[in-house]
Amino acid sequence: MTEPDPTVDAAIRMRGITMSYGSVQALTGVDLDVAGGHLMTLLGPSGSGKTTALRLIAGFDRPDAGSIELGGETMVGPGAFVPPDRRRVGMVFQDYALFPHLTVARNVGYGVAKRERPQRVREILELVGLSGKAARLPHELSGGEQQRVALARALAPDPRVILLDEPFSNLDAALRARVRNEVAEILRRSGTTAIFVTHDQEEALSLSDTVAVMHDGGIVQTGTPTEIYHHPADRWVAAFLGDADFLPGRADDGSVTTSVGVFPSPHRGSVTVMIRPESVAVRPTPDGTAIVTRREFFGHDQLVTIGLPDGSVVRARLGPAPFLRPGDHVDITVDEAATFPGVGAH
Amino acid sequence: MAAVAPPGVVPTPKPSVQKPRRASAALWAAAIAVTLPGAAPILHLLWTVVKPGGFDAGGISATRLLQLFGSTTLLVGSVTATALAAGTATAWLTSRTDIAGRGVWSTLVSLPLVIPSFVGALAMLGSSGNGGLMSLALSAIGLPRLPVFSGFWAAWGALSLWNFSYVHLVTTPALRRMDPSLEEAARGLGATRWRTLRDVVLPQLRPALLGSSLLVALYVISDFGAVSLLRYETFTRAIYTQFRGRLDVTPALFLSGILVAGALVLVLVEQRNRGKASLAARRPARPPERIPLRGARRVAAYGFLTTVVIGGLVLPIVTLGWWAMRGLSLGNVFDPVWAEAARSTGVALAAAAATVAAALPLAILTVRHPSRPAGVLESISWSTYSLPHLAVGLGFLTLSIRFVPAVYQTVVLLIIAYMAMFLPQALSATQAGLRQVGPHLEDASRGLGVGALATLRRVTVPLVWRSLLAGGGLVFLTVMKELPATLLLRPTGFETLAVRIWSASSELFYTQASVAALVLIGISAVPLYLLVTRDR
Amino acid sequence: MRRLPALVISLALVVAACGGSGDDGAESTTTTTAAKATATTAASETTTTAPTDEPGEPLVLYSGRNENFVQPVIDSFTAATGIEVEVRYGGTGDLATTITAEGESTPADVFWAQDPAFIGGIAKQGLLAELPADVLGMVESRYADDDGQWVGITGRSRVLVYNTDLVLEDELPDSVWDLVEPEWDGRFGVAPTNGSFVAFVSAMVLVEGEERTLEWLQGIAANDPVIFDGNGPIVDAVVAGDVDAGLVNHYYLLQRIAQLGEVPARNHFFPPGDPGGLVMAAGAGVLVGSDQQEAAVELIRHLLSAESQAHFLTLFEYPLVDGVAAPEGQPALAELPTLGISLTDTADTLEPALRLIAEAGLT
Repeated sequence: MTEPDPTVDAAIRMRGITMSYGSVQALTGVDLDVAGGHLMTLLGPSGSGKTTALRLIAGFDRPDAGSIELGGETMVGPGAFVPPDRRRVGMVFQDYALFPHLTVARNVGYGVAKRERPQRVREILELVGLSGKAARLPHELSGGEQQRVALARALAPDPRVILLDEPFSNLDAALRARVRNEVAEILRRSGTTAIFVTHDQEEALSLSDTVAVMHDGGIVQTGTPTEIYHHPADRWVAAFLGDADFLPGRADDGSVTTSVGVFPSPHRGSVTVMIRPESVAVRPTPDGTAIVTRREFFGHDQLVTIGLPDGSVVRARLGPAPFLRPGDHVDITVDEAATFPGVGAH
Repeated sequence: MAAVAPPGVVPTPKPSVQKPRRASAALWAAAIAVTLPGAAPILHLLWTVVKPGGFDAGGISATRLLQLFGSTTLLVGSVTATALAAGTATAWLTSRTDIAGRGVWSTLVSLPLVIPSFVGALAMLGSSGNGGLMSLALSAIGLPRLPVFSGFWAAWGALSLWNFSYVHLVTTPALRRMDPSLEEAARGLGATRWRTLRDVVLPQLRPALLGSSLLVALYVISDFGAVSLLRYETFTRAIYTQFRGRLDVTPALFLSGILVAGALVLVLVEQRNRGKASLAARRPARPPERIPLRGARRVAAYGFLTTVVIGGLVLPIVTLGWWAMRGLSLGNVFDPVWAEAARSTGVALAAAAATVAAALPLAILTVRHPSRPAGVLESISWSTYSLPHLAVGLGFLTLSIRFVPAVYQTVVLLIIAYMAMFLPQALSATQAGLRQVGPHLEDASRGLGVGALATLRRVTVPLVWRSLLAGGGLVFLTVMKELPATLLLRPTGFETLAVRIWSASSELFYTQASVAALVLIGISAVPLYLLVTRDR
Repeated sequence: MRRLPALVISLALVVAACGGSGDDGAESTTTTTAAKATATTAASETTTTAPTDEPGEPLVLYSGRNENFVQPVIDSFTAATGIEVEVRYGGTGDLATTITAEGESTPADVFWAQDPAFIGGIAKQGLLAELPADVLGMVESRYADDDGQWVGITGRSRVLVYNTDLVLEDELPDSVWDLVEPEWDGRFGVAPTNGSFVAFVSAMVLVEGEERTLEWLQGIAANDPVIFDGNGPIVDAVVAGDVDAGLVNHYYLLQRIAQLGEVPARNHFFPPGDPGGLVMAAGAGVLVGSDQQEAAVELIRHLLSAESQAHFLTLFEYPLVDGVAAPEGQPALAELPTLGISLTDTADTLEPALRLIAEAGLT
């Protein structure tokens, strides 16, 4: 089997995908590009259409309009539809969908041609670190192990693309981070193009090369994790990706002045200024103009809510020190802020 | 029907909306092909009735027809209600309380299904009246003899006793699989046990209750043997007498058409009201609590179960045994029924296998790719199920003699007829199994590059085989008991146990009839026992 | 465990296939074809006329008479001629309707009915062949079809069976018309769906006309009769005392007595001229579509042979061949009233009779 050329064969291209169920519009005019060998995450709340998009790529559903190409070959288009068993797309389901009546080895080897099966199963089990469990049945494994079997099974037939639908949501929180990294590591090692689907922003930001944020059936922003975090396209994305506070301001001549400082802004006129709690520094001082109204302590850090003299509210994420209490006077400085045109909720 | 969740399957959390995938042409072709035999008798009926002179009630006045319709409705309604109450009660007692020997009771209460209702009615007659077994027993201890069991109450009793097990068999697994946290929540909010039962438990049981009550209702509508022996005049009886007398079958078919229309109403009502509640797929995290029964309640529970088992199982078998012995002691000879037993068993097994295989494409179509046309196919199979077996037999007789005479009066035609009549039994069991397994495993298989047919073989069938077996078992039991279509379509000389019982009893050779009936019951008990205990 | 279903199914198909052909030599007592062994040994001794049509094909008999009644006679036929017979048992009405539905493609060669009206109906459709004169000549002409398409094999009389403890001698009715009177309210049973009853009503229509017959039927229906599905259950009920009396055929009670010993019940024959005293012939005919006409006629000849007729006597039916005796304790055939009707004509009144029974609300 020739190694797939990551730059061409594994690329995914979706154009103009529209899909509705009855009266519900699941996807409207979605365009998406995924480069070969990349890990892309579709991030969005439930109902945003991300699982639908995944199922369309896999071939389990057919869009009302639009086209999908994998590695340059048309899978879905006007008059064309390749069924799921011929797309060479691997899928890891949210509940793993392991065949309960087959052993780990038979599950993993399920999609592999008979002749290559023993060899390939051995390789893949080693890759995911489950070599000793080949003869077990799925219900005899832990959640994390089942996860890895699901991944192994999807990888074994050497797919062009692997799709993962909220793969970590069934794991305990403690396990999640560790398994996440392991899976990302495995995928990088195998060099397979992968699309994750999740509603967990932490997951999306930590794992992916690229993130596509989805909202109400459309993609609202695509970019690297850093880009979308620090420069969200609009207020909704900003709020979805992490904690943020918003202040109104007026932009003029490349900058906007607010009660907490002056920031660059490419816009003109009324703007909304977004401040992330981690960009806020706090200095307790008896004659500070800002007042602490609330403090949430998390052990390794704290989130402090601060009321400003003009009535606006800003939160600051600090290390465990200093020890602040509601009512303390502080001075705050904001390192950076993003701006969006317009005032009010987007 | 009793269908079991495969071990270790974690059911998919359903996405909020899911559009069913389009089915392949091959699947449609298969589903249509298996529905065709069912459509044949319906088409024959329509064709006969639609001709000029087709609307012929054979001289029965409209008033009398209404009267018969009324008496039938009364019987259907009362039997269904009784079966629902009794079957739910036994299911609840054997799966939710702490009475002793629950498993044994559950099996015993399911066993009455092996007794064909006309045999049960025969036993009922044999135990009542001046010469009956119970009368003799009673008079031996000085009590007055029983009057002959006949009329409405006898018919109600007979049909309730030998059909309530359907409700028990379907409701028991549903009760076992319910999530106890819902009931606990209700109790925590102050609801009494009764109110919990009414507001929380029964609504969850709705699909099971509706489905099984439909089976019972349709059976009662089509029953002829029991009501004629017990002398209760129903619509179906009128149909059979029209056939027996006339050389022209039009009135029999016309009346059958009316009956089917009525039955279809019931089918539609059930489908509408089945509700979106899917049969609980998940095994709850903990088993539901066992309700303790104390004192009078406990005694009443045992009493109820004992009465049901005696009436439905012990009494008929004892009566038949007594008849056989009495006849033997008087020197009556009977022929061993080994050949009939072999024929009955063989054809029932073959029919069960064929029907289960046929149901599979239709089940897949209606569960994985539901659509209006798929629903129409399913309705066709239910229509044939509701058709009096006599009309089905006539349809196949006429059509085969006209178009395929080589197959007339052969076992092949008989099996096709059974398949046409009993497809819904296998269908609903298979549908239940498919619903529990869910499409995501099949999707996973397809995603791994395995085609549709191979996925069926490697993933679907291995996971639903228990449901297939349940459906097959039900078909086996029903075919063993079948009489009218068998009489018409069987190859000359191909006497089954049911035919033997009928001919022997109609000529008063009760020894022979009893022996054959006991053999039939014995053979039928085997698959029923397997079905019931497998579910544990 | 995996292979079990497949094994079971193949076994089932094998068993069903074997059972279906119906020609197993092994189960000699229950199959309806005579054992090959007896046939082959008998064939070498036989001197009766061997048929000249298709050799090796079994004869198909549709019989409205039950197996116990028929089988010994069939066995002796096969022993005598070497011709095998496959018998299809069923109700006369059912079989008649089946033959009608089958039409000329019917696999049946001979139809032996319980009652004249139904076989007459088949004759009217032109489905029966004319029997040779010598066969017809073996019985009195009134017990055969006027056009020679069927011949009576045995006779039966309609009677009122009654329980001797519950019905006094002077209460016994002189006519079926007595049964519509109040003193018989709720005391008797009828089987309105039974072929003999229908034949009896057909005869009544010939004797009394449709209007009067309807009057009688309605009178019966209004007199709270106990409705049964067949003659047997009526006799059982009368013997047990669950019902006082019932309209049945004469031989049922006699068979019961033979089975159970003495019982408190007797047959009451209606006086001459009353339709209740109808004597009917159970007849047999050869189907026009049969490709074994000669063998079929042979079978009918055999049914009329002295040997067979004597056998029918042991089952308490009236042999119809001249010169054979009557069942023990019953009036001789010659003494029974004739009503002056032709049994053949009951075929014409069959349809009206059925409609009248339905109209009276008895079905």
